[in-house]
Amino acid sequence: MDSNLIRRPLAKIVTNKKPCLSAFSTTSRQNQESYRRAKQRANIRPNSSFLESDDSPANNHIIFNPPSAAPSVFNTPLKFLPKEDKRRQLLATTQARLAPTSTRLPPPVQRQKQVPHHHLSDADIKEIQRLRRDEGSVWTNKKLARKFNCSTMFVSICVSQCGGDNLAWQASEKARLDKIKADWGPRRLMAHEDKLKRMEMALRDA
Amino acid sequence: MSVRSLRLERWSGQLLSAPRTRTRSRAPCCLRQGQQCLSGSNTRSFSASAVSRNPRIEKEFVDEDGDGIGLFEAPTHPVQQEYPSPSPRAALRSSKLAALHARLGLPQKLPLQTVARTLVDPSADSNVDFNNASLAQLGGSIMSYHVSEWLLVTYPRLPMSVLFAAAYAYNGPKTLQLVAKEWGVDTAAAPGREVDPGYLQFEKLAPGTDYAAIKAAGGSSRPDKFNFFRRGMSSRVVYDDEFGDTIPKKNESALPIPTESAYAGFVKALIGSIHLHAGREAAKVFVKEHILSRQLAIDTLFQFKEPIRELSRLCAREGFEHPMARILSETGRLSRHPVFNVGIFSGKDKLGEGSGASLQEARTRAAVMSLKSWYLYSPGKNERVPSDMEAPGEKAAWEPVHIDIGEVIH
Repeated sequence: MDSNLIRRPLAKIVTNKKPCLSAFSTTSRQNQESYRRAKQRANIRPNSSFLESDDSPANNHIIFNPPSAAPSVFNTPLKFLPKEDKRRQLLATTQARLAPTSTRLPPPVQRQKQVPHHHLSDADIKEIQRLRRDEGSVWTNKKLARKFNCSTMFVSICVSQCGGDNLAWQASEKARLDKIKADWGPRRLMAHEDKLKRMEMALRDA
Repeated sequence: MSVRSLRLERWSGQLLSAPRTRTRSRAPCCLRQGQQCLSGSNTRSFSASAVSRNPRIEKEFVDEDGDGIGLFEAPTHPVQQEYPSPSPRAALRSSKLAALHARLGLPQKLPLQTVARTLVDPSADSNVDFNNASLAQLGGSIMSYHVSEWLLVTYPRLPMSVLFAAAYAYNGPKTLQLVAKEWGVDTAAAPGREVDPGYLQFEKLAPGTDYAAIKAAGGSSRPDKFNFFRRGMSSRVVYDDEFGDTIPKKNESALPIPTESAYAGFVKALIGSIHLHAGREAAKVFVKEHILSRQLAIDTLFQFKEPIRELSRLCAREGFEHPMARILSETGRLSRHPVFNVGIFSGKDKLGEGSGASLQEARTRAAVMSLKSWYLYSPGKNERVPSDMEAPGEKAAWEPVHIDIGEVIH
């Protein structure tokens, strides 16, 4: 979590009204030229769950066919429920019934890099730190990770303790990026700012 | 939060010190009633705001002799017929007050005079016997206690910063201003004796005043003011108020205050007066109906910095499998507007999902959603809170609520 205090405009988040599903902000408008065309277009075949079939119950029954929607954060996943929670038992039986029969999971976003762990000795770590301290401009994190067959994360932890200051490198890097940004026109600048805003919104999932 | 926010030592100043020391503040009370009998009518020779700047009582003066002879000496204490706030008797004639009492369904035990007193801010009348400072201190503590215990029981895993923000959204001054305005309480243009007691009376800030700068200049009660940079969440918990803001060092009660503070003081004082006149249960029901009944979009209060790392630390802490981002569905990967739907899986269980225009964005959103659904776990909205056990008819034994080990540190 961010360690700063969070203050948002209260008028948007505190109301004395219950959230209402049927409140539409836009009015529906008839864009079709004629009633007949609109009616034709709205004549959609009902979902199969609404139709009577041979295995549907004989008596009155409830049709459960919710519209597709983004999942809510207030529905805690089964794994996140504490052990003493009574819903654990209920959800476990429901999930067992609803879970797909195939056990294949969707493809991962990025392939996991097979980097060995805990294989570097103290001498190796000293060598990483020496290389960075003496020839910092040549030995970047990526190159060091490739040379020692470890993750860049591990390299960054090692070099954070190597003692050398990389302020000069940081300044030169900033100057380089500023020079690139100075060449941007208004459209690219705006696109960049929009991208930063999107990423900030993604961090709130807003 | 609840224990800290009660702050018993801060009540005691006003409530307990008055009977112990004999000050002149007692005398004008009697004097005032005598004068009202004599004069019988309101004198309106001065403007209201001019009067309020001349406080009628020198609170520093301690009458140690105890004989009280000096009280009626004219040269040292000129007879002042003007008082900064309306007399308690005027409360009985105010239709606004009666309407407010009826509209809020306040208990019959709560007299109109007390309701009138809750509407007088210390900036309008500096006498603690006639303003709402002590009632607001009591009512604010009660309200803050009920809000925090409800939040802690309903959302036991909330991080501290979100807990502060949620408390601010429920009983912060801005919300209390909204509440009081919905009740139909208006402010008087300027405080004074002749004002209808149904108006909220306080000394208004001049337009364009930078109140934050004034407040900051007064300093705070934090002992580490020289190490001002050491202001993390833990130090906020220890030193600051129930919203994580600094507590101002000295309360200059006669200074003008912002409208929201005056409204907040009124709502707190009203809850305090209900507690004193009608009892603990009535005050609790009032807080429940007017403060806790409001809808708060608590999932919008979160702000993460590194959600993917935080989620992986969470899974390691709780003993779950390492979280993996997997593509649930996608469309238009090579087009101008692609949409990716990414789910975060721990083993075979899906923890959350999110969609975005790039794989990175969708993955971030999915991690944020998983973390939110962890932090927003709730045993139920109608769980029993500790103060429910104090209700007279409560027979069932207390079942311990879920207490979380704390937010993820990464």
